[in-house]
Amino acid sequence: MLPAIGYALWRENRPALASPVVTAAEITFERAEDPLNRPATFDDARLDYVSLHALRLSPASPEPPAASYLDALLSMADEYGADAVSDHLGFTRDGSGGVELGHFAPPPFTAEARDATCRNLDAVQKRLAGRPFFLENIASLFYFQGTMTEADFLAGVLERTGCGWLLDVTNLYANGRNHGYDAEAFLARVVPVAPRIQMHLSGGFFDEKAGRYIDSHSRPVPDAVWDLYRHALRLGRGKVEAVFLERDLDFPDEATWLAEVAQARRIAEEVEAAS
Amino acid sequence: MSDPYAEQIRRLAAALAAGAADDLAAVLAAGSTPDDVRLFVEGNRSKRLEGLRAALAFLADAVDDLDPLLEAYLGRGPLPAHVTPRDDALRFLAWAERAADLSPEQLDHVVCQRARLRVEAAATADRAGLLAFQALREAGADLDPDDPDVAVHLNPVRVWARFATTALLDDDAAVPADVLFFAADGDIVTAVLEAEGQALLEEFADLAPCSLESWSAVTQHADREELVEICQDLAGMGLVAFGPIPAE
Repeated sequence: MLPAIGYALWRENRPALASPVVTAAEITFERAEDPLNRPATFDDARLDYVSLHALRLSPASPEPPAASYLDALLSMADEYGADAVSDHLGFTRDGSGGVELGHFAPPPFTAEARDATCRNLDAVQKRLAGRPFFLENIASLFYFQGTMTEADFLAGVLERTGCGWLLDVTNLYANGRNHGYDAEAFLARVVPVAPRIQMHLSGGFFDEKAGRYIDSHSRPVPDAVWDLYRHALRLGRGKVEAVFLERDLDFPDEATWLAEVAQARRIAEEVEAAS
Repeated sequence: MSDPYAEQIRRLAAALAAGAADDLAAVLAAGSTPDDVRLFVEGNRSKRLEGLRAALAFLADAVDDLDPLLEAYLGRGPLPAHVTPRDDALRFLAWAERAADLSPEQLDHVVCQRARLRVEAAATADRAGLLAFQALREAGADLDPDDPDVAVHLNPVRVWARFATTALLDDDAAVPADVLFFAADGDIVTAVLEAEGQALLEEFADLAPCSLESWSAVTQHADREELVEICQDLAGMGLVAFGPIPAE
């Protein structure tokens, strides 16, 4: 089974959606759509798969997401006929009366954090009423002390909740490089327990001063990430539903967008043919 | 009974939000350092600043030194939980109105920027209403508002604002002026209404959707013929639309 392949939607890449190379699109709930406009119709595209990507569910917070946020998310998923919804494994706030961080921080990898995350995801999935939910591994510049590895934490959450895994290949590559762990071993631990998989591919840069790979979503996908993607496709054969290229800055021209989508497809076809 | 995980995340989030990277040194995993936390904190701050700049683009045209104001606002501390980027921009405007030394003309830009953000917020909050209204506009463009089987519907996404100067109005406009901001054709449209027009619209807001006949029966502000003309003008602007009479 070949995954649907496309990109995370921005106004800048919307025209490329009409290309037959593109069969999937990811809409970011918080920023992709102008609230004043009618929903973007995909009449000019032949999309097999649409996913709605959220940024503020904060699954690792001690409290579940606000009902109003979930309702709005569900409403937009209905509006676009989204096949799935996703968000990140992290916390962006502590709880009501607390503070908003704006971006996801990694939870401490402990049983308590895992329990809270599973509780929240159960609530999310119940509200989504059968529409598949995918949990994304984040790029972490640091980790808190914990009692298990990130891979064990994520695998435990997927096993208990039945969530899909939004495997951000570049985040995995960045974490492996920044924290010195084996990205392939991570895949070997998590892919078998993930009931279904989506993937993200993007490019960043190595910040010499900080000594960290920064997943900036501003560069072409690096070769090492393509290699990891190929490996993940092999391991996850039959489970990978969709692959999305991500670019948030320094947008390329249409040909470059489409070339990366085409490369993602070519690799998927090669893996499929070799099976 | 306190929840140990909630307490742990409360401490971590408070330190991250305050940028107190060194306070976290004792709870970081091996290989992670306060410098890594600082990188995270700085990234979050940059994203918040970029979000504010994007949301306040209209105001930036009128306030040359907006960035120092934004920096001062960010320095006031972290956002409360659940505050969205749009709410962040609205909070900035409320703060700038009180704390910044802005001219009356610049304050009108603040008023305008706030109204635009509130229109967006209203469109987000009542997306179903906006979509239904837009569908009516498309389907009912050729309907006669005077037809007793046709109802006049009011655009649900609208916000009033008051300008104190003519900075954003015609030079000869009377001030203060009440300006209606509303969503139409994928954009934010404004209309300056005099007292009579404002009263008519507020009256209609209590009745809509209704037939022109029903409106005409109660209004003291215009006769039926004038109402037909007004409705057609407002429909052209995107403030009303024509459609079927809703079932009771």
